Amino acid sequence: MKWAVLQFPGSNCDQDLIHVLRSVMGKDAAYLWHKERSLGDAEVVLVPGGFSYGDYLRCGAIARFSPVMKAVGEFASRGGFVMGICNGFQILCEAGLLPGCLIRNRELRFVCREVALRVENAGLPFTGRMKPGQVLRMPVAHGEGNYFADAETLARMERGGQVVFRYCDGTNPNGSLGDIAGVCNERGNVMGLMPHPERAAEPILGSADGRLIFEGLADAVRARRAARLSGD
Amino acid sequence: MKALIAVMPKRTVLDPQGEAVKEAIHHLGFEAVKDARVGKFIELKVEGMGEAEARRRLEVICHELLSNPVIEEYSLLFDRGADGKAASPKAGAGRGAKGAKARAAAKAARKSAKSKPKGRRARR
Repeated sequence: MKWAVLQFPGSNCDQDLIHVLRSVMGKDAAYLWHKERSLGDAEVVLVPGGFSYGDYLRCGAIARFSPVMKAVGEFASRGGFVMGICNGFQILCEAGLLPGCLIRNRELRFVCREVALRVENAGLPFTGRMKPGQVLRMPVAHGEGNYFADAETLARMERGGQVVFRYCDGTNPNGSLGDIAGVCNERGNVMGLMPHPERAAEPILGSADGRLIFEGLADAVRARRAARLSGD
Repeated sequence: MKALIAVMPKRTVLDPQGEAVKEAIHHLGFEAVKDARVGKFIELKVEGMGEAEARRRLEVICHELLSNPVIEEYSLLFDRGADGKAASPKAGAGRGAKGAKARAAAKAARKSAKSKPKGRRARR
């Protein structure tokens, strides 16, 4: 297992991720149950979408205390690549691995449709296959995707290139501040986004743009392995 | 004893639920209601420790789990039940709160939290 897909009670995009990683990308990927305390030989950790713990209390609030999340925190602090999608994004925010928080959509409705995303930071392991300003099409499906952070945090994030994806002008589906769809941590090795790249990784699904994220990550993993071998 | 915890969205955070509730109240004909905020109320039964220690531990629980300091504030008070004494008014505002405005909001949250347990007891 090099690509670990976490599973919490209520995760429901885990199989989609495994499908993309194994069948589309040809990667060595496996599920990792939330009670595990070790990530094994994982080089990438993916936190899938869904409704972990039924969204009780707040989305992601309970999952954050699962044993596996301690290992994910340590992995991230060592520079490991971690990506959270939808509920996975919410979990990473609750865990403090990403700044801010996702609150109820402004219109109070569950939003399920394709959106256009603009790439704001193309210098990350997750976006290495993209160009700044490139527009990607992916679906969103969430009731709590309205990104919030206080003004000071937001300004720091904007300065530091931590806003990775924005909904294109006039298409913000949830009221997110600054049209934010995806953010990363200061170091750039942890990213979360509300849209679902795993649901847009094959042309038959209407868009294969999401695949760029997985390909970028694969490049980054390869580069890191090469650096390790050369004793860097 | 019972710990009574009210978690409210910060004033600086958009509360679409509160907005919707306010609108529904207006549809009911109560135009005098000018603002509504929707939060959570949590009761915890605590045994085997005094109030001071319970408060210390519960502050951590409130901060780490029951509220998210990015968007919410909490207030914590105790209901000792049968002895008839009023709930302790001393409440901990979210530690993340900064500045006079946040403190004022926390105070308002504490006030609203204080009235809730009384109301509940009166109905029993």
